[in-house]
Amino acid sequence: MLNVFTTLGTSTIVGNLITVSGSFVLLLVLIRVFAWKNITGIFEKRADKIASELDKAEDAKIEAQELVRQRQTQLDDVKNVADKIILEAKNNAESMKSRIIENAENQASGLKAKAKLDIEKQKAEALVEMRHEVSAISIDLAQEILMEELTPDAHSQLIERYLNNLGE
Amino acid sequence: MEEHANPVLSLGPINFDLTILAMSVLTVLVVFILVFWASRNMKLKPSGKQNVLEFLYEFVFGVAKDNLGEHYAKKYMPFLFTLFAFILLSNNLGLMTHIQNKEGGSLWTSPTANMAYDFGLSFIVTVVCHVEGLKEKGLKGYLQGFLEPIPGMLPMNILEEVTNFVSLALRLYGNIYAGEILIGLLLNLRNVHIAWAPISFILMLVWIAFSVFISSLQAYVFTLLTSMYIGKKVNGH
Repeated sequence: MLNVFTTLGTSTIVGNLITVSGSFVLLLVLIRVFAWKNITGIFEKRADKIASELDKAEDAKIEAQELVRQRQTQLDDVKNVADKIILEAKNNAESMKSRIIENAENQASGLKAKAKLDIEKQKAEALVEMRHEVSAISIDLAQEILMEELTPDAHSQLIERYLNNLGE
Repeated sequence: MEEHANPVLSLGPINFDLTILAMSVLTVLVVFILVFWASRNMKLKPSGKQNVLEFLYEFVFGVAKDNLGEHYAKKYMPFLFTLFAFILLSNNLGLMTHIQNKEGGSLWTSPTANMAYDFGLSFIVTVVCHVEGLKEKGLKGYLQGFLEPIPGMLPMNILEEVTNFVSLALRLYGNIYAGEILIGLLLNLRNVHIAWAPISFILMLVWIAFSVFISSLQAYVFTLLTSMYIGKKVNGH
């Protein structure tokens, strides 16, 4: 290795030193001037984009939560209204039911009373008719038995006496 | 040393090794073209080449952040990123092929397989380190740094600066140069007897794979140590 320093005449030490310094500085300058801004610029742009996207995501999240809260209150309101409607409908149905039943009962009892009256009337009529028939039959029988004709007065007196006896 | 057999251009007292010059220019061109091409039309959602570029950037930024803290990492990112990309490509360049001219000089080599070259890189790093330390802390703070943690450590601190400089260069040089030597030897194995050719081929495959790993690792280590040294100077021990 010492030869390198003693044969400075034909050695290329200084030449190499100049070569290496020159090349390195040249490369440094070239990269710095032409490519460095692009490289560091893209990193900064990316970092900014990520930061802004994070902020936007945060805002969107807050907005979404607000919307959820609003929807929830609206849903609750709608449920309350729906409950009220159902309650009202139920009450209406109940009252209508009791009204209809009352009407039906009234009608039924009315019919029942009328029927009872009819029955009574018919019974009375039937009784009167029966009386007339019985009296006629009995007079005929009496006529038959007595073999004599009665005068109309005696006829009617006989009837009256018979009816009074029936009435007792 | 091989550099004497390489084509040389003499400009006055200074001799330029043309192979190394060509390789350096190639490195600069390839790194710049790749970075430039990948940084056109960058989208918010990366894909393809933008992904690769961002991966490399994030990788170096991660290394820098650990040693420098967030604020300084951003400040020194162009320097560290360029350093990493430059050394990564230089180290791997020499593994691609091996071209020799009639005098036995190499026409295709890793520029970092040359000691002066690596010392040059290490020198750049050291200069940047101390200048930034002076700028951040001022002259008094910078000199104060040498007396930390206790004034008795002054000789050790000075020695540390020297060893940092030398070890940074020699570590890179040793790894890459050894790789190239072995490639040359494995190629020459075929010249001993043609029967060695298949073995030479297989060993060459294995060694080149290993060398790719070593080259990338050395690029990472160089950048890591650079960020550590800068961190020590601007943040304090």
